[in-house]
Amino acid sequence: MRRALVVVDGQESTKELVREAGELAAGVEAELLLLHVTSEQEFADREEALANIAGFDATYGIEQAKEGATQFAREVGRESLSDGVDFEAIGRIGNEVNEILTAAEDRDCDHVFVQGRQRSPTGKALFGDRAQKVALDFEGPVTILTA
Amino acid sequence: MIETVVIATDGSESVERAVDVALDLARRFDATVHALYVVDESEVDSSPEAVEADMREALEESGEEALDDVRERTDSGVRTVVRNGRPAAEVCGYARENDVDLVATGTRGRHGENRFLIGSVAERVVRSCPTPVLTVRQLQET
Repeated sequence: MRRALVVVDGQESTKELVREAGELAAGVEAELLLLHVTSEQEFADREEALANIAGFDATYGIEQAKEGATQFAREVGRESLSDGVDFEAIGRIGNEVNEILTAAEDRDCDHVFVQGRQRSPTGKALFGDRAQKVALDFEGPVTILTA
Repeated sequence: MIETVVIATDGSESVERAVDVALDLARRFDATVHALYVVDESEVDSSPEAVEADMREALEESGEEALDDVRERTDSGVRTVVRNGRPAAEVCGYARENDVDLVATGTRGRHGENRFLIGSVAERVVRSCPTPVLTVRQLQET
């Protein structure tokens, strides 16, 4: 493993995945990329919500959204990894599986870490398990941790 | 820390790359490697009574081959284990019992499942294993 891509989610359990990935990467001196993807739907919702705030002037565009996602990944990294463990935070907007695979390819990652089956806020299993799609598409190893 | 790695093998082509990745990682961490093969009792049960014993024997032989294959790929020792039962349940149970840090497996089984679906055993292992599960897919034949 030379460069690992770790998919950062919005739940508390994401920290455990990041920690595990961090341990493995540290042991083999691999680089760590932490990726958080904001879906197009989340982006649209946030954009609409902001637009509805009376008097709110700032534009919320793709760049701001990307920066928000990057910041989120960065914060999770800081909270989950030991001091002195280097990582790079990446934020993306779009279809999650596509963004994961694209980022892994663009950044020449040879290992992906992702959480297993996720539950939506209402407790339903999301259609088309993300981890499995990544595992079937990505050429390298995919390590899945199910909370 | 990665101290114990289990390779869950079914002897299929699908698991070969997972074996190599797991052995390499174990080497880097100086971790103990276990290779586990599960004789799928449901396959035995679903065969005609007259050949159940033969079926079990054939699966056990397959298992030994699969485990030999892992042994041959490394200079370090590998603890090989054969269990009988439901594959995913046995793998997860074994992981729990042996304080395993990582389970490695392929994504498809021996029966050539659809390439757009992960094999049912792999899916169950991923879903129920208390440990991280390292999966590696087969590369397509060109």
